Amino acid sequence: METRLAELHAASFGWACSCCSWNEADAEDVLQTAYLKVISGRARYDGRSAFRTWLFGVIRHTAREVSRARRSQFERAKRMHLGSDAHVEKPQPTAALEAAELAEELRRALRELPDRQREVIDLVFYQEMTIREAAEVMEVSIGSARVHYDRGKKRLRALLSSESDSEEER
Amino acid sequence: MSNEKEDGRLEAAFEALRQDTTARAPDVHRMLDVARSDAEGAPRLAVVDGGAAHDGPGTDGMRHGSASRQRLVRFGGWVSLAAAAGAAGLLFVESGVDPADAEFEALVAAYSTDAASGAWRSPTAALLDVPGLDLGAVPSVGGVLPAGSDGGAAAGRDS
Repeated sequence: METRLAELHAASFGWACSCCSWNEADAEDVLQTAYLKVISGRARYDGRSAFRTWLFGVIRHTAREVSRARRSQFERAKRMHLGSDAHVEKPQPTAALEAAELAEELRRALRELPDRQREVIDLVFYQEMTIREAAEVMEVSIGSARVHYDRGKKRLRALLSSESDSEEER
Repeated sequence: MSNEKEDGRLEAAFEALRQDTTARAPDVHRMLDVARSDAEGAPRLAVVDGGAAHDGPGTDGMRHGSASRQRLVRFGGWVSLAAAAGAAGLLFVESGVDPADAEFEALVAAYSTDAASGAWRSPTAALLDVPGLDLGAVPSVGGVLPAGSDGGAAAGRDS
């Protein structure tokens, strides 16, 4: 079980970020709680779906629970985020800098999307799932997931275009 | 711009996001170690920040205990309710039928029998029996005159 968790860790962290509106500190807390649920047996994999689909479902549920319970703990999460080694500013080469800027631009655009649209877009583009798998994780029908996907993609394109336009104006 | 080109741009942006996020991902072994020790119930202090407590396994245990207590209280409530209902039923059976009800039922039965046979008379029926009440009755045409009435005078008037 732990091996599988470790294999999916990067993807799980990305999904947890998406579930927490790209707040990485919250995502880390959510992922920690989700791992605890899995290891302690509070969340049990019954083999009815793919392990990744099930794990993403656990992370999604945990993110919802945590966001409800911890709204007032935002400041603490922010401090933890600033204290982690991963965010020490390092000089970056130009290509890496451009990629980081593009990633940040995309994060900003994703935060603007409604939850369902953000979830399905993230699962399809970031996690490279099919719409059917995304629907399974989101616990919605495939038709509903498809509608959210189409709307989300259209809106994301518009948001990214407007971001590029404003960048060019500057 | 075509959809394919737009999708390509989105894919490129997501690839950049994936690389950036992967680089920022926390150490998986540290997280799994923490989860394992929490799952084993190792004592860990609750982190208190801004007046809100971040629960560790200790508080999780307390929450579990509280849930069991609630279940026990709920079960006790149902048992009490069932016992009260049983006692009420037992009292009802032992007391039998109320005597007032039995008397009322006997009166109704007697009234029903009298009414069906035409024998029943109202207690105030005697007030309607006044002298000469029978004279007010209209005789039937062609009927036989009652004995003792004046048959000759009547015949003379007719001719």
